[in-house]
Amino acid sequence: MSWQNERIDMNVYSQGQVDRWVYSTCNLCSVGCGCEIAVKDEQIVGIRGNGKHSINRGRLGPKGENQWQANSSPDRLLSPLIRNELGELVPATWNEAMDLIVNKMKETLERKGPNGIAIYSTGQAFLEDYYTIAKVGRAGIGTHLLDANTRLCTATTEFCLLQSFGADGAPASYDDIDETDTLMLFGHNVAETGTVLHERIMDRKARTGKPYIIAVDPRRTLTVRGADLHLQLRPGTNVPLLNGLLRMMLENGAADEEFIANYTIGFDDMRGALEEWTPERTSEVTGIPVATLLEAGRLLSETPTLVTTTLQGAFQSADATTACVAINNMHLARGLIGKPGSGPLHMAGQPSSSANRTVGGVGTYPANRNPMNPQHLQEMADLWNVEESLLPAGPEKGIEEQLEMIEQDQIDVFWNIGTNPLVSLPNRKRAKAALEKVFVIMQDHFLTETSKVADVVLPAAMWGEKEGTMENADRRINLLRKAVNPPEGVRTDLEILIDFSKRMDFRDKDGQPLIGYSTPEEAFEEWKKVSRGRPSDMTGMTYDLLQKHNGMRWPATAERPEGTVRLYEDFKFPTSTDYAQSYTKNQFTGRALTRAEYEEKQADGRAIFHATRYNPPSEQPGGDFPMWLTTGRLVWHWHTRTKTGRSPYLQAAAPHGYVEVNEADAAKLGIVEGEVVRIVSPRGQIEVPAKIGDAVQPGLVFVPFHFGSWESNQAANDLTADFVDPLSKQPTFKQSACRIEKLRKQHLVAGGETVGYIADKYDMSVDDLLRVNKLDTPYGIQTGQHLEIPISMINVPIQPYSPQRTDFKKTPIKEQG
Amino acid sequence: MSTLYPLFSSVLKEVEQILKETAEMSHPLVVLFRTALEDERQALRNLLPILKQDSPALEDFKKDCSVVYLNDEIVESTFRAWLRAVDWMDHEDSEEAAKLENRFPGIKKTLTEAAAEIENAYGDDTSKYIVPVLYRPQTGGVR
Repeated sequence: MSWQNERIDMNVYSQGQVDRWVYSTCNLCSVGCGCEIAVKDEQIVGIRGNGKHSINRGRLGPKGENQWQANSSPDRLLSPLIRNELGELVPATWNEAMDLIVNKMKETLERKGPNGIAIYSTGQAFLEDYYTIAKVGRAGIGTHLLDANTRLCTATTEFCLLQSFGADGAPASYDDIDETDTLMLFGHNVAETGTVLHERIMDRKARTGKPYIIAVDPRRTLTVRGADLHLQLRPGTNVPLLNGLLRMMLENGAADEEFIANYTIGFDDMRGALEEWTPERTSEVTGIPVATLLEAGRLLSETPTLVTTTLQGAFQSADATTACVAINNMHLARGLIGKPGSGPLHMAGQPSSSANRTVGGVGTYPANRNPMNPQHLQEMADLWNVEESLLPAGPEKGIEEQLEMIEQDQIDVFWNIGTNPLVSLPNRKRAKAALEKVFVIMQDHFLTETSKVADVVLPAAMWGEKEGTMENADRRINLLRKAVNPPEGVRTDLEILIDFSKRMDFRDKDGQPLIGYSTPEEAFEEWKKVSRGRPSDMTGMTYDLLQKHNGMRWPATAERPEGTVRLYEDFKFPTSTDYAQSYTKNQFTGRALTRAEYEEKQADGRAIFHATRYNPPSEQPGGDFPMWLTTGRLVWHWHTRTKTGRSPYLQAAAPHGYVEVNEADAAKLGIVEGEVVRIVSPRGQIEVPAKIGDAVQPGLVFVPFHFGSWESNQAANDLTADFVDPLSKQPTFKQSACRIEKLRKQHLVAGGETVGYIADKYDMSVDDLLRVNKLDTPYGIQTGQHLEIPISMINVPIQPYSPQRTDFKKTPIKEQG
Repeated sequence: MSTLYPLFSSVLKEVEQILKETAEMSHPLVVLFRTALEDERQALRNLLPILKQDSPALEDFKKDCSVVYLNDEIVESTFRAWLRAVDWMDHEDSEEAAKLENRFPGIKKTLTEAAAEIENAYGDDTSKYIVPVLYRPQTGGVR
């Protein structure tokens, strides 16, 4: 079971008692911790965990504890801004800004039609905002181009679930993690990206010894250090590993033949694709010793229950969707789904990215409706009281495809809501050049790197200043009450969208305003009607019930009034042609299948196995770029630091970027800890201090992606390639090629100078000076000799996240080899 | 013969030419778009005999027609990714890749023209679920 005890984590800065505590949910990461916001004199002054919330029982992560500080940051945007003729962003009234936007929209609709407009939103707003984006975007503007930064973090979750099970929605939940015998964390560094969930896992492990943890990661992360078995694979080899493991499981006789026969289709085709993945071949490609693979195969064959979680190591890698489908195949082959303690739990990257997918602000139509199914569009037309012919049909376009459309002059207006693409998109210089071509509306709390290309900036309210709901990674809808009013001059996302719809005079078939609601709760009530009878049915929820139960997992209906802990307990999957959220895609090329092709599969309520063919990463080390580059998050920061960079504590904990280099590579190159080096990829270069250790394997470097200011030259996405997964269109941030260049100056040794004297002169240790020059002793230098001196040294004092209150090191770690 | 025949016929010629010109290449992105193009080629081969009729029924060719468009939707961006990939890594295929660059916009133009023909001949409502939205005349929304 989950937590034995509550523990209220709290971070308040208040002179005197706070005036009130307001019910809310943490707005960072996808775990979904319950919290309360401290209010004093109508200002947010702190936060504490909600001890009654089953997800966290009062615990908060380091970012969660400090998220409130950004609200009172002195550089909040307090008025709209418009770019003037001199190219400067200057304050404007809301009327001026909205009129400019509406005129530009109308002009574009006239000149290029609805697909001349793209809306690119976020995974950190509220369900009600996303639902309104879906309605305004699809029914109002009529654009097909709705996407979000969820494309960067969670699109693969959606597409692997559509492929295997017919609809979105994580089959397993955190409750299953609490019960499982074996937990496979696949590319999921939960210790740093979901600290409270990790603590929950390790708390149980400390008490009971369970679960047995298999961590799959090319890096030796904090998560790996708490695991029982580490599968340290080479970058870009997720699919070979999974194919090899599943082949072993089938060889071991672990298939649940009855389950396969009764509840699935496609097993034989899937099995055929595994043939080449013998343990030896798998080992050759992944770099994992055969003995380790066999041990993992044995464990996965014998475990009575299994939960597999995935995150960016799976989603942002080559073959992302295919790898996640391979995980689904594994669970289906063993019949380990829809049962307590079992199932795939593909995570989400942001606190409400799942909500955006569910309500149709991104990807498919609201409530898991298939954009290629005429019946589903007719349902939406009826629900929204508009003509079906006005709703765009067909498979969605991801952000990278939209950038290509901009390059080809097909898009004129880009509405950017609550995200900072010029730090978060891969190959960001290309993204910047594209966005410079179009009219960019930016809706945010602060000026960001993306402001450089914004034509209008709208100041939006933050967490704590508005009401609404979010969906976490295990389908739980959590409520957030408004704690304080937004600062004067600032509006909520929902208010902005409703105002826009009014100004555009969007109306339904009866001449009534397209958006008939004016509050978040009214929006939620309308959304509930849209969800009725669909997989994500929320008709059994109300704001009051969400607060009373501390969140509810969909579906929640009259028949399931408390929601649903895990999906598919009846082994019926939403794959019938008329009900499915997708006709699925070709598992290799990503081409959307037609209705006729899908019908031919005759899934009819059964889950679908897919053959998982390996296609290596599109860019691999070689020539001038001999090393792998991977990017990722730190425990201390969230995305592009728009919020966490404004917390003094978090910023002090991780003040700048760095590159993690394996100690063997550092020795070979003569690089020392803290030395500023240049990382060069075919797209660009950055200069950051080196952090040396064994967290990355030889031949691989890691750069955190949070640090993207235009001035500091630390942006990981100046380096990354902009290739995408063929199914989910998620960029493959985890695999690019690069090289390390040393930045050195020369010192000519003068008569009488010693190594100690020279080291002192440049503020270095003697040991570092010797390492830099590959000298064995301090006694061998000669007058007139040239010594190399790093041009800059910066400490890399990234603090380890220590409040892991559970001693998770008591289980010995089994390393490969 | 349907007015669509010459249009799809010219697409088939282009597709076959690209397949021929990339036959020896093995970059992962080439493998990807070639697999899609082979699928597209098969659909075109199924489609063309039907389009030889004067007024073919849409029902008889809508599946293959969609397969052609849905492949084209993914092929061009994968091709452009390959162009970038070989350029960045100074790959041996770099020059050959650049020579193919103009073929894809040509295919898209022809397919857009065909989309308008389909819409004229069979109606907007019918073609909506056959031809992807970005090939069709830009309409939609309640404005």
